[in-house]
Amino acid sequence: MFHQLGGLGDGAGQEELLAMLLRAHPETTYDYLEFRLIVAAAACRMAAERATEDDRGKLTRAYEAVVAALGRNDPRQAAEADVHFHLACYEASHNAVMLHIMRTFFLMLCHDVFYDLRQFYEREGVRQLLLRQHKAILDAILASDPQAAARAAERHIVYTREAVQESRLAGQRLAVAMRRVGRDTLAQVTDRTG
Amino acid sequence: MTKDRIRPARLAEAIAGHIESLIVEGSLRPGERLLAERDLAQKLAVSRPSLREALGLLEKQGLILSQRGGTYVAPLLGDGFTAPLIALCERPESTYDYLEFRSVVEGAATYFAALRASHVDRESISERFRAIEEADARSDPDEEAEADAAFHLSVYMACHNVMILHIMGALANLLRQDVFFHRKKLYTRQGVRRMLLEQHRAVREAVQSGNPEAARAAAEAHVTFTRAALQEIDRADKDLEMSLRRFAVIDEGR
Repeated sequence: MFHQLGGLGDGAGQEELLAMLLRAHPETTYDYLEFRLIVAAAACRMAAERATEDDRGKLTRAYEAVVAALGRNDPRQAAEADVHFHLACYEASHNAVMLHIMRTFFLMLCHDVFYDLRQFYEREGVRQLLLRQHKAILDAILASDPQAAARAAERHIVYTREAVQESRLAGQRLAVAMRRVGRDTLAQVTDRTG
Repeated sequence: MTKDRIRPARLAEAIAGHIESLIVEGSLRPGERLLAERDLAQKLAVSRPSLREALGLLEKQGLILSQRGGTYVAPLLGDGFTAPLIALCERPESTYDYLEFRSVVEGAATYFAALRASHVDRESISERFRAIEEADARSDPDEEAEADAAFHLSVYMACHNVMILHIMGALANLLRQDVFFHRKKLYTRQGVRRMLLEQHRAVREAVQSGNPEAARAAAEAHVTFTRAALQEIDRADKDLEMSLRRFAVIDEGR
């Protein structure tokens, strides 16, 4: 029905309304990650079945770019390279419709709609885990093992979901801690109750 | 502690926020026309001036559009998403890419619907299925194609994942415009129509009985069948073209 309304309200280069809505409703992040889990597993399975020599080279270089960025201790570049790695997986799936749809959402993600990937790459422990998960996806695709590729992709998203949850809880805990530290602005604090 | 300053919520903002949530959860859908201001104000139990102010806020955000004397919910995925997809689908192989993607998401959506559907969702799915049956009994291919799309939308609602709902909703709109394939081709074939009906019945039953694995299998089988049917129809069309060309050659030879 809406096609009759014509191309209103979305000039070139403008962010999709959906992105704005999702940002305003953080609980939708988990729906996004559930959707990602479903599609990424399928895409990596297809990539393991269909990747050409060209795709394999591209995937390997994309992975190496993440490693190199981390070697330079550049979380920003690492986050960007991470997105390229995932897009390379979708490219290797040889499904152009799926690639277009997922690219749209990865571009949204670059605008920090759901979470900030750079923050993940700033933390040493998280960084190593992400790297290992990417390596598992890469190895499975290069080994042409569809089942392993799907499983590796699923594990990566399940982990991302946990990391998002943890970082949100950490943010809330920090806010509580700061309010407690600044509580003398709320009550007449005495040493005894300190 | 200026950050914690409490700001009294303005009624108009609260109303706008409420309507926004209705759009996010899919209670209000892209392309739908809102009730007239007076009726909507009554429905939400707010004053007309407050509602008008709220609609002004939503319009500024681009979430609603004033068009031809009505107020419509804007498409959440606009031209930036659909135009390249439409261009992509001019290649005939995109039909199969679409169906492959659809099979993945449809399978998962139906799986989650079987797990998560509330009794309201289940009723809605059954109702939509009856609409397909009725259209089928009347042999009305246009109506049946519409009922088909509505049935699938009710499954996306029942899966309770708003990402799936919005993406598949946007794709369903393109499907209605025959971007991916000509739906009429499917529905004008008696045998195909009967099979599709039985597949929708299987999806409905698996969701109703709360069996996620059966639901996924039924949804995937449905998309796989659609793919095979379209392939067959394409081939039949090509055979027909070839026959016509042969006849033309024979005609010229005379």
